[in-house]
Formats: sequence, C-alpha cells, structure tokens
Amino acid sequence: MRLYCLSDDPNLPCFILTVNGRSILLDFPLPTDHLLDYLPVPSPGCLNHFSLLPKYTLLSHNKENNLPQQIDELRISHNQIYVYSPIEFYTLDSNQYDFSLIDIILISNYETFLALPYLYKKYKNLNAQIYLTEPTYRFGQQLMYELVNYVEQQSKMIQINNEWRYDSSIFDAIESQQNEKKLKILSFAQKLMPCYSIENVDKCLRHTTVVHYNEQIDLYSSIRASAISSGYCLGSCNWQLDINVNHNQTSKIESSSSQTNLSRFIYMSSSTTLETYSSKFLYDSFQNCDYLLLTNLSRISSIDVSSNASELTAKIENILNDHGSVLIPCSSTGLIYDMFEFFTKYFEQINLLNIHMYFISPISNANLSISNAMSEWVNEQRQVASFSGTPPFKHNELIKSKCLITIPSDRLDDTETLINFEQPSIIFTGHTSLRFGPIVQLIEKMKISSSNGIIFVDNQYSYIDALKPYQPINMKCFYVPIDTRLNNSQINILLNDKIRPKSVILHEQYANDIGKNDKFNVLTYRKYDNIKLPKINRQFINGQLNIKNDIKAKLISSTNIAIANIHGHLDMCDYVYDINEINDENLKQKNFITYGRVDIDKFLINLSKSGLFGLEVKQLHEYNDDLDNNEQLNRSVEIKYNQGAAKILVRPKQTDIECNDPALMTKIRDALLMDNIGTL
Amino acid sequence: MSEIRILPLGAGQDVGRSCILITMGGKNIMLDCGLHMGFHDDRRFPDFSVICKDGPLTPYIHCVIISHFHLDHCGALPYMTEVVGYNGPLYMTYPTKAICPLLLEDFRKVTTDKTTQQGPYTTEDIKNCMKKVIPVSLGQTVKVDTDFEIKAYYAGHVLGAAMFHIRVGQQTLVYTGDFNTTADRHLGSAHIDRCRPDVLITESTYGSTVRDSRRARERDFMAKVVDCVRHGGKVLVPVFAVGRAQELCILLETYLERMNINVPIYFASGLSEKVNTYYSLFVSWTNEKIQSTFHQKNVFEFKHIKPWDRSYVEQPGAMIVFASPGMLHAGYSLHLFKKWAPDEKNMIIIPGYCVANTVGSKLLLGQRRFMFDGKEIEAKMQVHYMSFSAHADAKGITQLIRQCQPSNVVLVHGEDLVMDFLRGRVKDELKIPCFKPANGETIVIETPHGIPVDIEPALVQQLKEETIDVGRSAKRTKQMQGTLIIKDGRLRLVRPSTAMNQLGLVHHIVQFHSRFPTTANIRPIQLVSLVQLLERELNNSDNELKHRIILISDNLLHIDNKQLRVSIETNGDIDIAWTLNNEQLGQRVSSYIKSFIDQHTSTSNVITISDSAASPDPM
Repeated sequence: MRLYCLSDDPNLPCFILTVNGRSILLDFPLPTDHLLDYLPVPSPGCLNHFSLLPKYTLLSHNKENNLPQQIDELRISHNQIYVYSPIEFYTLDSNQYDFSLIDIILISNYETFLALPYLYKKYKNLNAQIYLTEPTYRFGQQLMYELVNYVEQQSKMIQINNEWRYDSSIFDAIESQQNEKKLKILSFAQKLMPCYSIENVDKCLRHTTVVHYNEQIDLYSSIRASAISSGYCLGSCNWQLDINVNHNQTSKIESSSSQTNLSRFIYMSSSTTLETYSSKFLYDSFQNCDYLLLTNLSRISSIDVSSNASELTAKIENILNDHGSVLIPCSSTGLIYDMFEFFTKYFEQINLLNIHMYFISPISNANLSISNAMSEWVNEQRQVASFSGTPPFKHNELIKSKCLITIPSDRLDDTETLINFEQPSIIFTGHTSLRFGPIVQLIEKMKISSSNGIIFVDNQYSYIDALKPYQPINMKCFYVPIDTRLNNSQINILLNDKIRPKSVILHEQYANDIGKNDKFNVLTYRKYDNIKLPKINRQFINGQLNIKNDIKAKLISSTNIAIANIHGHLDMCDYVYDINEINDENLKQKNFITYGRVDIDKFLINLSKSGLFGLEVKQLHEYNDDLDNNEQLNRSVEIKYNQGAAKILVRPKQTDIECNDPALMTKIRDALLMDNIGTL
Repeated sequence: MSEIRILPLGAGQDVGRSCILITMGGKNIMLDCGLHMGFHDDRRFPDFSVICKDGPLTPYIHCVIISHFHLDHCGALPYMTEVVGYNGPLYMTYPTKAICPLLLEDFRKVTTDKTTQQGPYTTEDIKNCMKKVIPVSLGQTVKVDTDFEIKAYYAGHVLGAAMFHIRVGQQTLVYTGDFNTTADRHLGSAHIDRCRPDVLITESTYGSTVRDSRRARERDFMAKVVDCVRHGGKVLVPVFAVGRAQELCILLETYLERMNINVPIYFASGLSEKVNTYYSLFVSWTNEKIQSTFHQKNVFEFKHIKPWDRSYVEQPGAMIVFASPGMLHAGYSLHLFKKWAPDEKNMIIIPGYCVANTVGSKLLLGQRRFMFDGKEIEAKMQVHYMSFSAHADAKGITQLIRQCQPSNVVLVHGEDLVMDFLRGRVKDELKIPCFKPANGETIVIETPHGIPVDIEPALVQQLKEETIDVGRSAKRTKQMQGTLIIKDGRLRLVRPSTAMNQLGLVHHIVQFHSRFPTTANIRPIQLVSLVQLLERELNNSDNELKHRIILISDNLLHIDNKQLRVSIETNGDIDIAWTLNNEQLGQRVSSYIKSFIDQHTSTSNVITISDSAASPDPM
C-alpha cells in the first residue's frame, strides 16, 4: 500500500492510494488560493471602475527588446499587482502520475471535488467511477454550475489576453521586475486553465455512483469501501476502506480485529462533533483501525464556535439597529442553512421584526429545494419532522413569510434589483473571495455608507487582502470566522481515547500539534511524497473449505486438538481463497505424513507376521548429539533380510528401506506403518 | 448441513395478509406483518399463536422487516407490537415509516365501531408502534446483531417500497416484497445486485400474465378520458390516496398541459395533500427524471389538480375526479359513484385490483343495479377497467430472478394457479428449485456452505512458489496438501511441518531405496541419458501431471522437488530413493532404470536379448 500526496494544504486534501494493484483517488478539490491575485470583475451592465486601474509597466521595455511597454492584463491597485482577467484555475494533478490509470474516485463532501470536470476533460481515457453520497452529488453539481455561471458573466466583461504568461521573454521580464514582491500566481501562471464548461461538468458527473452512508461498496473483490457520516455538512463522509475482504465469509469481518486478515484504512476529511443539521459524526467503526489519514481540520484551532455565533448575532444587531444592511459573503450551501434559522430565531427573541434575508445565487432556489429533499441525511431531530410530513428545513416557511427572499440570478443589475432591497436586510451571496459573483457590485454599492457592514464568516481568505482592491471603504468590517471542523484538542482526544489507530498519516504542518505520544505511529507527508504504508503481518488468511468428504480428523489426546490431513486445490482469485475438491480422480494423490519414532520391537513382530523370517538385526552405535540419553528410544538398528534382498535402517528420525523387489517393499512398508509411527 | 426454514403465516398461495416467518442461522425473522381485507374478524391478522401460544413475541422473533406501506404488508403491525406484544427491532425504509402511520390510522378509523369504540388497535398503539421502527436507507447495510445484516434494494412498487437482502452468518436470503420492474411516471424500476442468495422469496401476483406496454395503456386511458369530457361527461377514477393516484395525476397534468384541454381536475381524499409532500421529501425514491429535475420543478405540486370540495358535486359540466378509496367500498369514491352513475355521459375508470364483494368488483363483474340505503341506483355510466397495478409481470419476475441468481426460489403473494404456472417456468427455464408453501406449511431448504478456515500465509506462499513457472492448466489442477488443526471450534489450515512443530511432533522420514550395482566392466552410465529416458517415460502422456526432472550435478538427479532422487554413488552403484508418498513413482522409475541398466549391460556385453517389454524404446 502506498499513498501519493498531491497537495500541500491539509484543507485541500488530494491523494492517490494504491492497494492490491488498484489506484484510488481520494478527493479532487479545486485550489482557489490564487484568487486574491485577481481583480474583482462586476457583472455586465454595471459600472466597472477596476477597468480604469493603471496597467502594469515593464521597466525593461525599450526599442531593442521588443517588449510591450504595458501589460493590459496586469493592473496596479494600492501599490500591488493584480491580474485583470476572468478567473482561471489550476488543478492538483501532476505529470508524475498517469491519472488515466485511476480505477476509483472517492469523494468526502461537495467542497472536495469541484475540480473533477478538469480531470475527465484532460484525461480522455479516464474511466474511473466516482463514489459519492447523494447530497454531495446534488450540491456539488449545483456548485459547479454556479462557478461556471459566474465566470461566464466575467468573460462577458473582459477578454483573456494572456500573452504575458506564454511569451517567455515578457514573463521573464515581469518575474525579474517583481523580484522582491513575488506574486503567488506567477509560480503557476502557465498551469492556469479557463473554467470548465457545463458540458465538462455533465460529462464528469456521468461517471458517478451515488451511495448511502454505511453502504458496503465492493470496489474490487478484495476492497470494500463505506461512506461513514462525518457530521460536517449534508452528505459529508469519511471513507472506510476494508482491504482483503473475503466474500465467502463476511462473518469474519465482524469478529475482533485480531481474528481477521482484514486491514482497515480510514480517510478522514472535514468532520465535526458539533451538532448541526446534518446526521452526526460516527467513528465507532474506526476504532483500532490500521491506518488513519487525517486531513481538513479546523483552520482556527482556538476559538469556540458558539462564542463566535453570539458575536456574530451581536454585530448584525448593531448594524441593523444603525439602519444599515449586512453583507455576508458565503458559500451557497452549508453554513448558510444554519444561519437562516439561527438568525430568524434570534430576531424573534430580541423582537427585531421585518428583517429580510436575501440569498443571491443562480443556484439559490435549487439548493433550498435540494436541502429539503434530503430528509434521510439530516440529524435525527429533523428526521422526525420529515416523518410527520414537514420538510427538514424551515426555508419554505421563511420564504412564505417574506423573511427569506431568494434571487436566483448570476448577476445583479445596477439599476433595478439593488435599489429594491427592502431594508433592513441581510444579504448572503458569493463568492467568498470577493472576486466574482453578485458580491462584487454589492460591495461597490454598500461600501459607501458607514452604517452598512460586511461580516466575514469564512476563513479561507484573509479578509484584509480580499477587501484591498475595494479600498477605500466606509462600511464596517468584521471578521467572525465560523469553522465547525474538528480542532486540535478535539482530534487529540478522539485519536488517543476513542479511535486509537495503529498509524496516523498527516501533513507535517499538523505534526507539532497532534500525535506527540507513543500510542500510535505517526507518518507525516509533504506535497508529492509517496509514502509506503507500514505493512501489517497477518497471522492467517481467511479462506473457505469446500471439501465435504474424506476429512478424517484425528484427536491428539494430550493436547485436546484434532488434526486432519487435507488434500485439495487452493483457488486463489482476487484475494478470495477457496479450498476445493479435486474432481479428477487421476490427479488425486494421497500424501501421508509420518511422525514419531519407530517401535523397533513391534516392527520386528510385524515383519515376522508378514512372513519375513530370518532377519539379521544389528545394533548401530551412531553418535547422536541432539538427542537425550534414553538408549531405548534413540537406538538405531540395521535389519537385513535374505542376504541383502532387503536392508532396513531404522534411526530416530528416519527409516531407510533398501529393496529391489516391489512386493517385498510393500510388505515392509505395511509392517512399518501398522500400529507404529503416527501417520496423518 | 445448514438450512433455512420458511413458514408463511399469510400470503402463502394467496394474496393479502403478507407475513412470512423465516429461520436462518438460529435467527427468526418476520417478513411483513399485513392484514387480510377479506375478513372482518381476527382472521384478518396473521395467526401469531403459531409462534407462541400466549404472551409477548419478543423472545421468539429477532427482527421484523416491513417491505412497504400497503396494509396487506403492514396492517397488523400495531396489533402485533402493542396488543400481542413485541419490543424487538423493527425495520422499514424512511418513506414507509413516514406514510405507514397515515394508512394505519385511516384503517383504524374505518374499522373502529363508532358506538363501542371497539377496534383492532388505537391511535396510541399506532404511535407507540411507529416509535419502535428503525428507518433504513437504500443500500445501507444495517447490522441487526453480530453476523446478522440487512440491506434494502429499490423495489419500485410504491414510494419507499424495498426488497430486503438478509444475511445471517454465511446464509443469505432476499425478500422482494411487492416490486415493479418497469419504471412508471413517478417511480423507477426495481433493482437488485447479482447477490446469489441461498433463497429468493418473491411475490407472484401477476406471475402468469405478460402485460402490454405501459405507454399503450396510458394512451388508452387518456383517449377515454378526453372522449368523455369532450361530451361534457364527468370522469370518476377511484384510487387509493398514495401510489397510483400520484402516477395518474402526473399523467393527466402533463397530458392536459400539452393538449391544452381546460377541464377542472379534483382530488378527493383526506390524505392526499400531505401525501404529496412526502413525495417531495423523499425525492431520491422517485424515478430518475423527477430526481434530476426536482430542484427546478416539483412535479408533485400539481398546477391543474385542485383539492375536492363537497359543493363541487352538483357543479355542471365536465370534470375529472380522483377519489379514494380505490375499491368503491366507502368514502368519496362511493359517494360520487352514487351521484354520477345514472348519467350515461359519465364514466368510471377503475385502475387497480378490487377485492371481492366491494362495489368496485361487482361493477367489474357486470352488475349494474345497486341498492344504496334502500334506494336502487342503476349504473348507466361507462365502466372501464385498466390495470395500472405496479406489480411485475411474469417477464419482470423472471428478469429479477435472473438478475439476482438465487439457489432457490420461494413464491408468495399470488394465487395458487398463478404460482403453479410461474413455478414451472422457474424450474424449466431457469433450472432453479422453486417452492410455493401454503399458509402454515413449513418448508426447509438446505444451504450448503463451505467451512471458514484460517489459512497459514506460508502455505499460500509455498503454493505460489511451487506454481510460479507452471502453465495455467497445471496451476488449476495443482494439489495442495495441508493439515487442518481443529481447536476450540476454530479451524486452521497450515503446512504439515507447521502443524508438526505446533503439536510437538517430530517428522519421521520413511525413505525407500532401490539400488542397482553396475558391473565394473561396462562403461559408466551417464545421468544425462537417464534424464532423457525418464523424460520420455514419465512425461509422455498428456492427461497426466508432468514431472519435473532436474539434473542437480553429474551424479545427482531430482524429480519433483526432491520427492525422488537418483544418484550415482562413488562405487558406480545407482541409488534411487523416494519418500513414502511417492511409491508409485518410485516403483516406476526404478523399473525403467532397471531395464535401462539391463539393456545397457546386454548391449555392452553383446549377450542375451533385451527385455523389450520393459524398454520399448531401444537405445
């Protein structure tokens, strides 16, 4: 078993696990860490003041070197370079590995597979099945559509003019000029690709197999995967891989781990012990697992989520009381459902009436109706509601009472919609990087008034850097990160007291905080590491005996053990072991095993019984150093019959019978085996 | 030899009151717990006294599984759990758990005597019963107990209908419940893996018929409806509130939208509106088309279909009304039938099965005059029967059996004659043993299974090494020898040497020798020539296992990995040594070598004739 690590960010997990000759891709998220290097682009029909920003000037430009004086796609704002073009992306696949050879793709949640359409686009021969839960599939599909939509809007505003990236002389000139202040995007500028299309998304999603929690999926006959609820969001899971499953006797899997040849690999991604709307985090079956790959812990390890939640509501209350509007950049699914219900409840409590919550996204309506159809994936409390015919979420009620207003549009027109927001309002929209989507205009509009406020609940980006291109702004700014994923202390408790894995594999960045003990083996990884997982020595292999006849067990009285000699054919196919009968009589061979010592006196009697008289018996005095002094037991004799027609040499561990007459030989053999040495 | 016992308490050679007891691997499992519509006394419930004369059933039943929410599959459940007494695990799918109590409550209302308040069970019983239910999702493997798992597959019969795969130890069984193998307008088709169970218990309601295509039936239905409303008639479609109702509503809705026909459509049922929300809550149980579009358009929010109001009955002009219940035995449908039956412009379309003695079944049998409350009503309206029943037909059932590949098939939920037909088909066409137990009749099915053993890895390794360079056919026939150690009920298969070591036994080698002295006056025999001889003699026939003859040195030769050795001693003697297990080989080799030496001696001395029998190939 080997693990190939493709990402340097534990919150952007991507691995290839090779086991029993199969390659399994674990997650394929879309890296978005470079987005802050872009300038925001508003939707068509809106004022775009970013287009007026000064272009980047190449200092090395002169008449000889033929370099352009200015680069249109690079702009300067607040003394910093930004890329002014539609957003482009890079992926985590590397040339070191042929991704078309991947057999299986396992997805943890809808956040961790947004780059998959690129993979199926790039590798035409890739035919891997993608396994994911239904909410992951549905929300993931919507998020991909949303992304495509937003970027499409951008490309209506500006065209790509990426000569600077591909003309090496220009690029080199920029790089040397930027020597001091390196732009992150420069390091992979050539790897950037335009956003995938709806067709790419659909093509990729045709390869999906939707699974349920705890469904046992036989990937290949020896590998069984199950998605186990991780509590983080609807349909989020941790993958449990059972390796060396023998299908003939699934029963063995359940007995304690020392009794089976099964090894268990856990891939743990975003998980939370916090009680949210989704079904809760289960880890019972992870106990004493052989390997645990740990990723996607909380980015903020110290702050308590509930204290942040109350801070958040306090901030909102302040802004609303100040007659301002609140802007919350957030993802179109996930935390947003919590916020809708949490805020409504809070406003009721403090008697703040007629608050309008706007949810702006092309997929807003779709996501709300999908979340309400996922009654099997919510926590038990909400399940009870759906049993009595009530949707698990309160969206519909909120929409009916005009508390929640959805604007299913990918763009906002400067003229109409913006003005029509009813006050006081809280506006939820994306993208969280503030670089594209309806949020761009909203900030432009709202930043003017100091009574408005923007609250960052997402902690993926530095909010200061995200807001920089919009400066100067008057609106209030708050950073109240809410990250429900497991933090360091929670995971330490979990690993040490509950799960107790044999080996933990984690990014070196986590190594200082986790696993400083001798209870489990810790393996750290870095990007492009190819780790060989410690091999587990198996006591035995689970097999199945299909032979019915001819098993004659013999009880060894001293040990209370019965033994039997088995002759058959061992079928080994794909790690399934079957012992079958050999049908062809010709091929049947009976092998005896003889053990113990020859009782010479008995042997001599038996020989004479079979008509062999006139034996010459000679004691041999051979030197035996490894045996004890019991003369009687260790004696060696030579028996001759009929002047050397047969010569028998009996020694403690071996008997040699020398004879050229087959009939005579058979007689001697029978005499030797009869009631004498043990046979099996 | 292990076995599975099957005892139908209901649905054995019969439709209705499904309740099948199975015993496998020491676990007693009840599949469905339905009631019989044809009886009005305690006979409508399964006879639980078969399980236990008196007192609660909990100690005797390890788990109860309900396949779907129809009353003939779950109607007796509150009676069993609350009146008879059962506290063990109870499984059904999520939608079944949601919809089941509605139907149970409806049944309770209908059957409870208004004056004495005597009924089969109370509302409280239903509530308490449903609290005991553990919901399961499709595909999810639910562990009932150690070595005891169940898994639900999609059955397509009604929303939430499931087939259950049950595994106890090595034994497996699949119970189909009711299923439908053709997707309709709101549900998908039944699906099962090739799970090769020991026993498949399948329904056989339509086991002897092959139905025409659904499309043709839909066209027919719409043609009749449109024809009637064009002439200003009223169409009455008696349906049960869940299931067919939604399917026909979707059909009407899409069709009328396309045809631009503006006729009011009503839905008359106390349950319906709530039921439609269940469809939206459990969208993943509907068909693929609805699933992929539900976030854009909820097909269960009908635009043209309005809830019924009693005042509409006198409204003039054409209309289409879906009314429950489906067999015209009470409620809205009977009420409307009484009102509209005398007008020949009107039409009634019965889309499903009607139980004997109901108005629906009488109507289908041709009766046209009915007495209601002392008044005679003559039904002049057009009467049509069109089966939209969501059961698999003969083709569908055999298709499912092929998909699942069971070792045995057991038929339930069908009429006796239908079962006979289907059983013949399963036996002759699919060559699978097939049973049709009657109610109260126990059948026992043997399930041969291998014995689990723990194999020593070194044994496997050794075999791998031995077969590393042999062909595929030789690999297939390669014999393995191992020693089985039986201790404390656990079986271990190890190499004989390991067994010896563990048991403290010392191997005693028994070796046989043949020794042929060669006379000094002939030229020494070369082992190379013996190799050629043995190769020719031992490996000439195709159907025997080939022996491996390896020349180790000038004076030593091994056959089959030291099983037999031929060596030339320093004095020129030829020694052939073999172990106890290779006597035959040893005898053969020594006879070949003996005749070879004889011949050798004779040719060198030029005396006597060679023994041609022993040496067919002269050198």
